[in-house]
Amino acid sequence: MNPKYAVSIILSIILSYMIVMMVPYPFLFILPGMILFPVKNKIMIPLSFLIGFMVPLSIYIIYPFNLLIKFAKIVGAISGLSPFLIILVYPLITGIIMMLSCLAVLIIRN
Amino acid sequence: MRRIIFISIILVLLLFISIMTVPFSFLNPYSGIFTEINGSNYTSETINLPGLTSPVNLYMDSNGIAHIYARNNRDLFLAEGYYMAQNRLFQMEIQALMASGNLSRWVKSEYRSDLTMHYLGLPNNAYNLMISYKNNETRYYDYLLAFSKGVNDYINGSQTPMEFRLLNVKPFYWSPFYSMVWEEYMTLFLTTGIYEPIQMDLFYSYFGYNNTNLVWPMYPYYTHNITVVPGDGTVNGYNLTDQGINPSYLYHMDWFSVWATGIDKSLLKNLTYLLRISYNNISDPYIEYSHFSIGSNSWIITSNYSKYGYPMIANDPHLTLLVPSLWIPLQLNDPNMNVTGWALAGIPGILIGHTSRTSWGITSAEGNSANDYLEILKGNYYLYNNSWHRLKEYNFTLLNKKYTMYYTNHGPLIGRYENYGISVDWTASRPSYILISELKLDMSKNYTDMINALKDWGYPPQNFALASVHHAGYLTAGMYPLIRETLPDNMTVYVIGSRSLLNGSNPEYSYAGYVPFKYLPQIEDPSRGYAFAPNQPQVNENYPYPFIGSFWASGGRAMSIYNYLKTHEKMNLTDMKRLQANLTDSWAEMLKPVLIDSLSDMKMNYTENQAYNILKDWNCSAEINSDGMTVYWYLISNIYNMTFFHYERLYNISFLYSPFETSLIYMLKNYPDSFWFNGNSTLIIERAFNITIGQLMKNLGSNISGWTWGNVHKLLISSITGLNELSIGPVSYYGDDHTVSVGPVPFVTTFPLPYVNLSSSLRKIDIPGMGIYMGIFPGGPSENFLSYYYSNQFSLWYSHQYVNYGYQWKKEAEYTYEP
Repeated sequence: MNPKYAVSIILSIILSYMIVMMVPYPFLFILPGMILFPVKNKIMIPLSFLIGFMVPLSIYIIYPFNLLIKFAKIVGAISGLSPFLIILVYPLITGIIMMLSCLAVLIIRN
Repeated sequence: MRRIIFISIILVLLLFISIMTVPFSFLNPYSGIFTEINGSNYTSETINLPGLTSPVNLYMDSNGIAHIYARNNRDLFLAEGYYMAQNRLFQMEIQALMASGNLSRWVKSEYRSDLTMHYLGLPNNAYNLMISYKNNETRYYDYLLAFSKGVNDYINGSQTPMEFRLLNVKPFYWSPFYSMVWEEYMTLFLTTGIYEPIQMDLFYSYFGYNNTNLVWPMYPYYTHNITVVPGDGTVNGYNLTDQGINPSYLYHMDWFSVWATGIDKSLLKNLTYLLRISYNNISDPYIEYSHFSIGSNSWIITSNYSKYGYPMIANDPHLTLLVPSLWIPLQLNDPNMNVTGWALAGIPGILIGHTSRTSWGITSAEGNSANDYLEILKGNYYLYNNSWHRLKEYNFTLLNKKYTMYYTNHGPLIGRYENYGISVDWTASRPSYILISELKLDMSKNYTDMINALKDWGYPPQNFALASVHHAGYLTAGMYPLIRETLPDNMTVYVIGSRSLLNGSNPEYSYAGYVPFKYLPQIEDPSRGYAFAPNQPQVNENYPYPFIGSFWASGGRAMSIYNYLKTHEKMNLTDMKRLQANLTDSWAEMLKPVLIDSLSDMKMNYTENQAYNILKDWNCSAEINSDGMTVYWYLISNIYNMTFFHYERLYNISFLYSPFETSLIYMLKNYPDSFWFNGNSTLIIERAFNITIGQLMKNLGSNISGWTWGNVHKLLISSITGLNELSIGPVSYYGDDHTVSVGPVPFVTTFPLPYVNLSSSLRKIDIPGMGIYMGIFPGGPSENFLSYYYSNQFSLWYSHQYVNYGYQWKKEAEYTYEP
């Protein structure tokens, strides 16, 4: 792999973790999306979504799985949403934001 | 150009998504609502509480009981406030809002309950009480301030608990007012005399004196031998006969008459609209069950009757069950105090508990500590003692709308129609220091200390079961207001309360003092070896201050306890536990033979015949797997439906309390041709049986083995948030209204029956002389639904088991509170 790609991917992941742990709002995921600008066109979009989705999703490992599911079920019942959506909605949002940010970079770059 | 448009679209989309998804930040996996998962169980830590003068240690044991060790009272209550907030902040605040008539601040549409609180004057009473502590009892006011500071330290220093975030509301700062207003709310829950006279007057207006007296006798039928204080009613050598009054004469008079109430009977019958609107105004939608369903059990065993030679005590107060529970288990320890038991969340100290040498329990003592008055009004004036006085105004705002409540000299007007109104004179409107009484109990070292502590107990009157190392007994503590009545033979007598409204314009019917402490119902070390107080009459008819406004429970649980205790000489711990789990319905034991006899000649089909035999063989025990209980309950529900409820429906007064089964038994035995039974009780019972079996077959199938009580009788402990997902249950449940292990449901024929939501809110059995202290309650200390300690004691409570509330416990976590 091109070292430039690897550096930008690693930086993007690190920045994503920093954002998810330090800022509650999902919109700052625009920034790690922009860092991916050196990555080649064809993997840039799926990669950005993957990072934006997987980074917040991986955070859930700090919670006991049974309690996480129980909690999601209750919050889901309160809000009228599926428990899976309760768990996945934040990673989906960050994934989409990062992907759109990357798309903008891609268009500008080309 | 196309590229610019495309980029612009993406940027606008990004901006739109970024803005629109800000509210989802609470779902951030690292800092959002999921963090509650990690905070759900107790872990040792050191917490800085600047208001402390010395360090305080809190040990959480494996049963979820907190043990707080401080070096002085003030630090102790500050730490207690912090601990309660840490575990119950949302509960405390929503309860405080509800009691202070301000729930609509959080639940925007809910003002009906708020108005009820203001009609009854709770916020006003609480404010006056707080000021009274501040001015007259500075030491205890300082404890209240310390407790509040502990709560506020938690609010300032911690993340907002999840329940607040789910409802999108913010915690407010605690103050002594909120502790006082919650105390007032609990008082309301247990007060007799506000709702009951209105109920009686409505019943009387539609059915007349003879029927009222027949259905609602002053002393419920069959309870004369099971009073709390054994004997004829004489207390400390004083009785009614000594005053030259024959109890039989007194209790057989018409206490709805004008001489007793100052209100002409014909006028009373024209006041039904006023009675209805007044009752409606003070009916809180959050208090679903009638006050007659509120009850509690307690009994004491003297050292002579105990196998161990030491007194024993048992108590289980029946309250609405919620998660989290109204109670929170604690030990409070400092150089002046070492008490373990249950505190009411939001109020400092421990209300039901034990020290190393004393133990006490509480049950509701009926008898009016409030009375309703009929007021004559003209504009903003009311008539009193032949002159007009201006109504006092109390203003408040709810949902930006201004309201005004009006007060006469007796209290708040709860209803008004044309030139009449009804006011309530409630002892809780006068400052009384029950917190002081509670804290003195918490510091008691012997029986005399407990008696002295109860001299400060004001309202509501409660039966205190007391046991020390060597003594056991009862005291009904509290303020019973007296009314000076002139009987038709011109004798005068001071009575407790009225069955009806009283004339508010005539000073003769205003309060004329209170029952002196010396003559409150009381007994120490009863010679027969035991006494019990599950809400039955405290004293017999020769009591010097007749209970005219009595409104006792039917006495079914008292009868079961009496039948058990009298046959169990040398009671031991196992006997105590078995009695607390007892499921015998004593009124069913009396009613069943009457029903069986009435049905003996009925022509039955196969299933009816099977059901008849089940009922006949039933042991009158309300166990989960009992089919006889199911047949019995639906049968009497149908009988009620065809008799009492039929007539109440005719007059649109179905909200009245259901008459007791004892009245039904008495009337079936003595007046089988009464109009209540349409002239023939046998026909009514046969018809009800036929309907019952049809209903059971339709809803439970024709296989009778499926007609078990647990199939239709279920327990649901609702979450205080109102969210079903956070509730416990529904689970099959045992018991009925009259079993010691209680599971009350109304007389309805739905399938399943309405969920039981009121039962033993805690159970305790103590033997102070042996250092044995056992307890259980249907919940846990934490309101965090993810925590094991949300409901850690529920399963044991459900199966009538106990945990150790004594002095040997296993440490689970340790908190150090540093100044």
